[in-house]
Amino acid sequence: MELDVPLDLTIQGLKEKISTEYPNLKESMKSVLVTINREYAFDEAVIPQNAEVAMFPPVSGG
Amino acid sequence: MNFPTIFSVTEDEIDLNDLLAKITLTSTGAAAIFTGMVRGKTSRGEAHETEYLEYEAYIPMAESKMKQVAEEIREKWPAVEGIAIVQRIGKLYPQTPTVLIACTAAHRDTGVFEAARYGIDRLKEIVPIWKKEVSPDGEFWVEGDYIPKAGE
Repeated sequence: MELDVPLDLTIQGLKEKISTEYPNLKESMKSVLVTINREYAFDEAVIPQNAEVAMFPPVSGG
Repeated sequence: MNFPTIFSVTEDEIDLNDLLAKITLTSTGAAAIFTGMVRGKTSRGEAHETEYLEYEAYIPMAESKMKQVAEEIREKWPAVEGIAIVQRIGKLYPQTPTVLIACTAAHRDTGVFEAARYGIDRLKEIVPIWKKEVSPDGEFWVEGDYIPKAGE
């Protein structure tokens, strides 16, 4: 997914932006895990430039 | 010290003998191996049958988190020598091994059993892999219940 985002956007801000632009994803944003550059990241974290951000449900490997 | 650590996400069959050979050193006298497989019939909780499981992974992060799990094992059980952590992905049918965690050590009373147990528990908490359960009644993506904390 490609999204234009402002500098200094936080994970919380990103979740809000996605919820607004993709209302069908709003519910998922509540329980989603987020990673920045392959490390878990939380709502207050600021997304650095050119970061790889992933959002996914709680893991279920094994 | 240079102990072997193997971590991978693969579509290939898990080769226990090959992995075990790779983590067996001349000083090794014990190996604890955990392997999980697809369960065709579940009776615990809500009884159901499984046709197959389909696994997906965020591979680069999964492999880096497996490496982290191995590092955590070494910190907690310094006697552990070799570690192998392998997750198979794709469509996997009942009785097929899906995951393998093996730890070796000089002796069995070194925490090697606990180390392997910790490895599978931790993999299920922080390694980004998911499975879809497909049964005669339908299909759904399984969601874990662990929320990783900062620094995990």
